[in-house]
Amino acid sequence: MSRWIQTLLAIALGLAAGLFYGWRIAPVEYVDLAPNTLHADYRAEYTLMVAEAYQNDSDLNLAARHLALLGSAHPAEIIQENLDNGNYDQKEIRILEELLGEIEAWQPTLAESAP
Amino acid sequence: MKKIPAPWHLIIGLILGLGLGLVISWGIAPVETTDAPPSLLRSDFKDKYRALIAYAYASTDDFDRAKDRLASLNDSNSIEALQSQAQRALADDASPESVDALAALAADLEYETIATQITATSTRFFTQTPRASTQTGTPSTPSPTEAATLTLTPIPINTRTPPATTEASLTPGAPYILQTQDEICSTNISEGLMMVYVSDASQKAVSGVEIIIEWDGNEEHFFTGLKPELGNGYADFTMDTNRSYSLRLAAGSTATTELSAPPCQDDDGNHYWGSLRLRFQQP
Repeated sequence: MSRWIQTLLAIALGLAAGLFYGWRIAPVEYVDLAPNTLHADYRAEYTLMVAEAYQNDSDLNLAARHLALLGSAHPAEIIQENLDNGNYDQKEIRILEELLGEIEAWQPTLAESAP
Repeated sequence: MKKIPAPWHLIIGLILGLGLGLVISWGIAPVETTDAPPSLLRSDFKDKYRALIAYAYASTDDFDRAKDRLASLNDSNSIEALQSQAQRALADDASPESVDALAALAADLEYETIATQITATSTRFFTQTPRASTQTGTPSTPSPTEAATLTLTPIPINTRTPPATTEASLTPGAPYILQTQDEICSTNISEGLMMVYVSDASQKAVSGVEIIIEWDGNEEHFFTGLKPELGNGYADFTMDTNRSYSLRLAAGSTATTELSAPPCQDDDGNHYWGSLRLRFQQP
């Protein structure tokens, strides 16, 4: 085997080892994250908190603003996604569906610009 | 003897490949985080998460769940985090609802902490050697389980003058007003305990406030801040459950009258005496 092929094989082996180390053994650790990076369980809990708060204040805009932190999808889609994947009890499902029903028709209101 | 040449091309190739792999895995295409806990959120997002916990708590009153949720933020002190966020929200002219929700959750957490500490030390109040007390009368009939500790006449707890080292931060200004008066039924708190909290206009606990309590022509003085572990603005007094008291602050407040231990009942139907919680604040 020529020296060039041996060198290329060594590079490939080193590359594989480097990728394995950097992705699996010691991956980059993040801090200062945004809510859209939360674990699915915490996303579900966050969505439930929004629905619980909505029970108290009935502020649809505020609920939508809270949900917007979880992603750019429509708030109704975010709730539906969590309803599909979350581990909720019957009472929690009821209040989530209540918010879902209200927010499905919700559209963001643009602030009027000053003349 | 024949010298075997070192395989430098292999060593250099391995090092080059390893370096390239690390550059790719750490710099160019690092692992994307999609399963972070709330504790890794940026501080402003943590504030939003914390506020949402408080909003949800205001709606559900599910204290245990609120505590679990707060725990996921991994704050070193949840009460301080909530209080400081409430103060920031107040300074930023945030909605009163958000400030109230944060403050209420902080207050309930603080109250739970205090109640736990009172439970831990309550035995001490009843087992120390009785000293001359201006209180007279027979204490109420104790429950069977507490008969051993309640045979002594309950004595006022904080009747001494605060020591010179106490950080008395009594703020001059408007007279205090009674913000809330709650009757608390909890077997975790000593029977007939009157808990007084005093804060200034900025809701900061005030130590060294003299409290005057009167009953049947008798008078007792006690001070906030003598139990700093329970809060600088905290003071307590053990009521005789057969008596009615009136209380006022020496620094100026309206007298609160007809104060007595509320009758309570536990899950098994046994009667016991509850506690009173009074919150005074400067307007």
